[in-house]
Amino acid sequence: MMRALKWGLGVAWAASFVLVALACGPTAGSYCSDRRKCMGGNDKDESACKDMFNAAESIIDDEGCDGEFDDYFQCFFDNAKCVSSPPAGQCTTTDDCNEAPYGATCQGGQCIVKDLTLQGASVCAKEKLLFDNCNTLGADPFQR
Amino acid sequence: MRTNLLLSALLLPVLAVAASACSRADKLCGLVCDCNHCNDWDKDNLCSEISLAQDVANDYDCGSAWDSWAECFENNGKCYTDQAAYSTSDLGACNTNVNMQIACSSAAQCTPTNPTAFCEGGGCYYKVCNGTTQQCTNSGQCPAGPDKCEQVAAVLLQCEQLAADINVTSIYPPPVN
Repeated sequence: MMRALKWGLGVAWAASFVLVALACGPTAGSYCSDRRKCMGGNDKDESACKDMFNAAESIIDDEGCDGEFDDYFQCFFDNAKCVSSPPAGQCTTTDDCNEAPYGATCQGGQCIVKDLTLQGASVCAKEKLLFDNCNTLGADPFQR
Repeated sequence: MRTNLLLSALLLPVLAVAASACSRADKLCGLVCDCNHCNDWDKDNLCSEISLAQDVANDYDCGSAWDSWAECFENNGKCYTDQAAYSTSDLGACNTNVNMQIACSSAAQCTPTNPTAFCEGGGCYYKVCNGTTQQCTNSGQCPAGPDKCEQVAAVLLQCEQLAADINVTSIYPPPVN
């Protein structure tokens, strides 16, 4: 009887972890950590990334698009690859990349932006369309 | 009782800091929105953007540079009521009448020479931007002067850029003006 009770409790305990894991999708923290691994940056850049992501997400929530965003974010997080954009100017240090997009760093004399990007028009297309249709303000946590 | 006192002692400074941190950003967006007549939605978004700019500045240990910019924005900005625009630049004004030396009793006698001309006090006039010879019909067409907070804004940007390992210029300037 006691053994059955312990076994039951064990199963319930394990199941609760599985449920929590399933319920928790990617977060600003996990996204910005992955983005830093791709783009580069330091702890301060990562903190700023989280603040910017959370601010955009807050606008999306206010619009009532959190469900659409969660689906798109999950798909983005699962499928995005670290991709380099074409060079955006010459440089000797990252300070010379002021005219380049957010996140540019100076590598090999060129301003390079590496960022998490969806490759292929069909990847997450459905999720993105549903999100874009809802998100009329155009808040985009993946940009800056 | 002792617990309550301890909690109060711990919470009060936190609340005071939180209140002062909120009030600066709120004050700035209030200044802009009271002048620009933002709707509630736009005001919320502007307040969020200004708060975000402050948070990002703090992330880069540039809080004092942000404070300097915010102080400049608050102290040097002016509400141009005719344009419903709060700005730290001297906005141009379409307010100088140029006498065309043509007598008139109606605008129709002035407009063949200058389509923007009008008849006033028996003479034809057209308007130019204050201090220039640029013709205008409204102040929005007139060039603004330099931003009085440009220098402190540059200091803030430099602070953030120095602290960052990536290019962060696109997250700046704060989304006002």
